[in-house]
Amino acid sequence: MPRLLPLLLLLLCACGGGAERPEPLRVHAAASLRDLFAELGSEFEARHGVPLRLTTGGSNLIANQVLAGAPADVLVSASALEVERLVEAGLVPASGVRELFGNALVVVVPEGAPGVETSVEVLLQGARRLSLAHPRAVPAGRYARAWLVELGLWDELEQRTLAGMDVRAALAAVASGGADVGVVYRTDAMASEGVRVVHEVPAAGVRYAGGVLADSERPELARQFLDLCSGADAEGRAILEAHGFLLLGE
Amino acid sequence: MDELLTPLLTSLSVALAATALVAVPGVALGWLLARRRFPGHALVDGLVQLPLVIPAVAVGYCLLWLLGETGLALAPGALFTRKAAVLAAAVMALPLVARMARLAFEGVDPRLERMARSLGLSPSATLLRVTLPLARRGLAGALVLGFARALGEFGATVVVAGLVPGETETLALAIFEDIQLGDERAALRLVLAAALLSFAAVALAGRLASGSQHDRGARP
Amino acid sequence: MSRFELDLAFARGDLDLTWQLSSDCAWLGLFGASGRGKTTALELLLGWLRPDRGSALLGGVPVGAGPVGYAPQDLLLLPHWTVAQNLDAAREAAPEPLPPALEAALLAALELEPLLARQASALSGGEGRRVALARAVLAAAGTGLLVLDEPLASLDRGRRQLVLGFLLDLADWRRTSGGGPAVVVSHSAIDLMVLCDEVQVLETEVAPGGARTSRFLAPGAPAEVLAEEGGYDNLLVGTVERVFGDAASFVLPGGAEITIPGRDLEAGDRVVLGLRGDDVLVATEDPGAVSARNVLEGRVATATQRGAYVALGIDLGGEAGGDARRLVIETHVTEGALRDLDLELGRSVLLLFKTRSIAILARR
Repeated sequence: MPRLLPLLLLLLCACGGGAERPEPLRVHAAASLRDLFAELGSEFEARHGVPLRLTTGGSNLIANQVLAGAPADVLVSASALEVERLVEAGLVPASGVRELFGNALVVVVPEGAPGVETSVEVLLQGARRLSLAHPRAVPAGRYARAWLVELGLWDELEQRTLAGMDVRAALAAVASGGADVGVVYRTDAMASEGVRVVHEVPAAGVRYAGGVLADSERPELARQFLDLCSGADAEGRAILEAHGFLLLGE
Repeated sequence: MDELLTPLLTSLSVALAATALVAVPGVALGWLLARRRFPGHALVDGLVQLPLVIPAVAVGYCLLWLLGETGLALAPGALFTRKAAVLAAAVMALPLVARMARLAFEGVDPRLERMARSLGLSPSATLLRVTLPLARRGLAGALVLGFARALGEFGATVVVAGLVPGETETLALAIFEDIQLGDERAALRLVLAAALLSFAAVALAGRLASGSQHDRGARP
Repeated sequence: MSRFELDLAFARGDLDLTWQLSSDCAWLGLFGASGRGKTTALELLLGWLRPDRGSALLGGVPVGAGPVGYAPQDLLLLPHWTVAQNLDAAREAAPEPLPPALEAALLAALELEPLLARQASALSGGEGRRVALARAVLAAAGTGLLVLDEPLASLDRGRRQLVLGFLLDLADWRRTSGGGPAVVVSHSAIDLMVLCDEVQVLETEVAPGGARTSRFLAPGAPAEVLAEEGGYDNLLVGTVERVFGDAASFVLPGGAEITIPGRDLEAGDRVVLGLRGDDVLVATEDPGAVSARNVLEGRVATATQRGAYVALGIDLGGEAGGDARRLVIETHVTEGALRDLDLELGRSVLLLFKTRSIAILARR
């Protein structure tokens, strides 16, 4: 009997703990939103008493997880495409889709790299290894590829491109010095000390979209979270801007 | 077809290069661990076994730290190139080669080596003309198994070599990419190809290992 | 500087071995029950094992150096080589070559010709033993250390004789050409007696827990050792004269003829006979008709108290042939008998023993 006592106590604590804390709101979000949503999540919990359980990854990856049946309340992706796939699958009502905020696309080099004197086209053409998120699968990569296609550089750069799992991986590849140039979101570049921004892509059209899952048991709370994300109030807007995201309507 | 052929050829050439890279160190380590007692023996054994036990991505991280700017910056230019893919596969294959080589050497009666020495053969002649020939089947099996491991390597490779089609994109990485893209048919084709290749390699290793049990010498 | 200077101790597992020997004999025999002790001793002599304490010198030089020919019980033939290759390696390692006649005799005695092209791993146990023996002999040649572990075991009778004969010729040659030391392990005291100058017996005590303490007893002449092991106080070496039915006649050094069991013997066989002191009767006058066929005359030469009995050495006299040794037969009598018969030194007596008391220990 004495040996069972610690085990019983442990079980009690586990049960007790579960009974006290509220069910977290399950949010699946693009990789680039990790730091932003950590802060927004604290703000949300302070207001509503419900914490976030955050899962991040390349937008395509998290969408696939939800499509495969991962339980979620909210999905926020770096492009509308992924949310539309969920709509087509019937997991998100079409009326529930919202555009939330934007981001800028930047060209980065490793922190310790020598200063760039030339134009960005010359820099890209001379790159040994270009780091992007996957140019077909991941939104950040798609945006970057679209821009490079516009510049007429994609064909020659394609075979020198390192395709990362998501934009954070693409960023890390530049920070490690393995890639000498990368195209990532400005917010990611700001969050990292290993890279330096050398050019900002004008009007890249990066738009984050979100939706409440039809299966969610707390649709009201989920909608309130999306409201916070879209900068409906001043605190939310301040957090978004501090992280470098673009408010819509600007 | 190119979508199958390019990763397949990349996998084969990376695995071959990785096996060639670890062949000598792996066999040498196996011999050292089998035949020599020295202070730190257990430590060396543990370190050699480490990549077998810890997650491959952790090994990848260590390599990233060694090579990249964020760590020791030994060779940042090698990251995300064929060299890195070969290095990652080599590091993951080394423990297997060393372990199997050690078993192969332990299967050679050390008294036979003593007898060879007493017949006037020098230590290096004994190694070349007695130990290695008697261990050869086990050693061949070790290399084939190392090759099979290098072929299937993913976790460390994805970290230090990433997806560069034609250069670092092995079968494993290509499968991963197709899953990401949602192209399940393409992924399935690659999975079948990878399975066939690995099966062939393991079957070959198995035949070599069982053959080595016959070379034991005249029974007294 | 003597050939063997050993004073060592070695312990491993449940074996605890001590070995002391200071001897100049050319051929040393090691005798004792099967077990790991004797092979361990050989490997200490080869330098394959290091003693925990003490030293081992052969001809003044520490063991492990110098040319060696070793035929172990587990053969250790290089399995991926042919027999010929194994033997060639031995020839190359040898300090000097065997004389061609001896080498030819070796190959013939061991019947190796048909085996030469075979792979060593494909040999049967008996074939492998013969090859291992040949390899050792070739490698040690004349001056190298020759170590043979049960060289004659599992050979059939005919081959045993051939090989034993060869080893004797080899021993003769080695004595005349440098004389490297040779060590033979055998469970057959007879073989050791024939081959070796001195024999050491390995004595083992087993403790209740299974731990074994082994030590080599002081070396002795093989005959003494054999006698002690077999309990024979008298060893007689000679030639069979005639065989008649179940018996044979045997001429002792000194000329006296005795009757011995004759089954399996042929005239001309050289034999080694054993006779226990307890089986020899002493008479002070002709007893007349008795069943014992053997009656010999002699004088009481020595008398030794042995507690339960007195051992008398009876000198049979005679200086026949070139054998200057006087044959002394040991007999055991009680103190009472000693007194009653007045058996003092110099007294003439008759010895009686039955044919059946003679044991044929070896036959050549």
